[in-house]
Amino acid sequence: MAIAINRWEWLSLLTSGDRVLIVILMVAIGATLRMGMGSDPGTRIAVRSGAESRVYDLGQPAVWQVYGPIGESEIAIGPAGARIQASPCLHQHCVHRGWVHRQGDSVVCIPNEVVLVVLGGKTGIDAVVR
Amino acid sequence: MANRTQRIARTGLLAAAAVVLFVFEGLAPRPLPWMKLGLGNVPVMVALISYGPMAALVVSALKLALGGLLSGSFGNPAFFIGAGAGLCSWTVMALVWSTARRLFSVIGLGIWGAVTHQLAQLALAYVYIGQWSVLGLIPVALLGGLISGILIGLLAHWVYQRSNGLTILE
Repeated sequence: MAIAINRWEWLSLLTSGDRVLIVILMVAIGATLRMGMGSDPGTRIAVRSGAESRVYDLGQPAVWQVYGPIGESEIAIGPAGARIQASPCLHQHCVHRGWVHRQGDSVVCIPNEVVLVVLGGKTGIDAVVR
Repeated sequence: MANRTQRIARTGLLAAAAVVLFVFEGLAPRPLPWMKLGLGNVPVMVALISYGPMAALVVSALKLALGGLLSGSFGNPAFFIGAGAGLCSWTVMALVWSTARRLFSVIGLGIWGAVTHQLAQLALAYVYIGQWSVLGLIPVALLGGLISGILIGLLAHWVYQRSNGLTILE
């Protein structure tokens, strides 16, 4: 009994319910993509580490460390935006996320509880939240 | 009675397969943390279509608990996000299977399960992180759920078809 992996044969397994479901999902993907696109370049970056949250100006290059439950994460602001450039976490997903610069973009390191979120709006010294 | 014993034994086998697939997939490299095919869901779906929602819940729960212990992620945030999403996925698949079985094929069932898993994962990540930005990942989650759901559903369909002719343990 050979399994038929005949390129498109699996399509014949689909019921009309399946097809409707797939079409609805594709429409939803298109609609949510459209909503998410066109976000503008950000001007500030919110850095949250544990309970502490601060906002920095994206225009000024800087490198500094924040401390989380498993160690020291290194955050950098550069011409391309902001990133976590070193982290003590196992999988390094946050480091591989690379630079973010669009409003709403974020870098998250769950193991070390560090979150970066790009914000828009005015830059300035009073931009400190919480 | 023999039937009942067989069912229990096969559910156990499916759970074992689910744990192995879950751990194996966790070790494989992937471009993004949540970009998993969800191979461990194949035995869950086979249990669902062979023996019903309760057997599927057993397979899913054993997969999450043992898989979490074996991969060392038991108890950390990623584990809770994955486990919560797994339970949501089971709930939706069990509901679809119980109420709309004629409407959807195994592939459709897989899509329901995978899309639910993806969206629940995002919702739980949002609860953990508390940032709206995770919602920007909705299109990626939907697309990932659609593709992995089709593949996993197809795999479950094949496994189910072939296991019908399986006489081991009888």
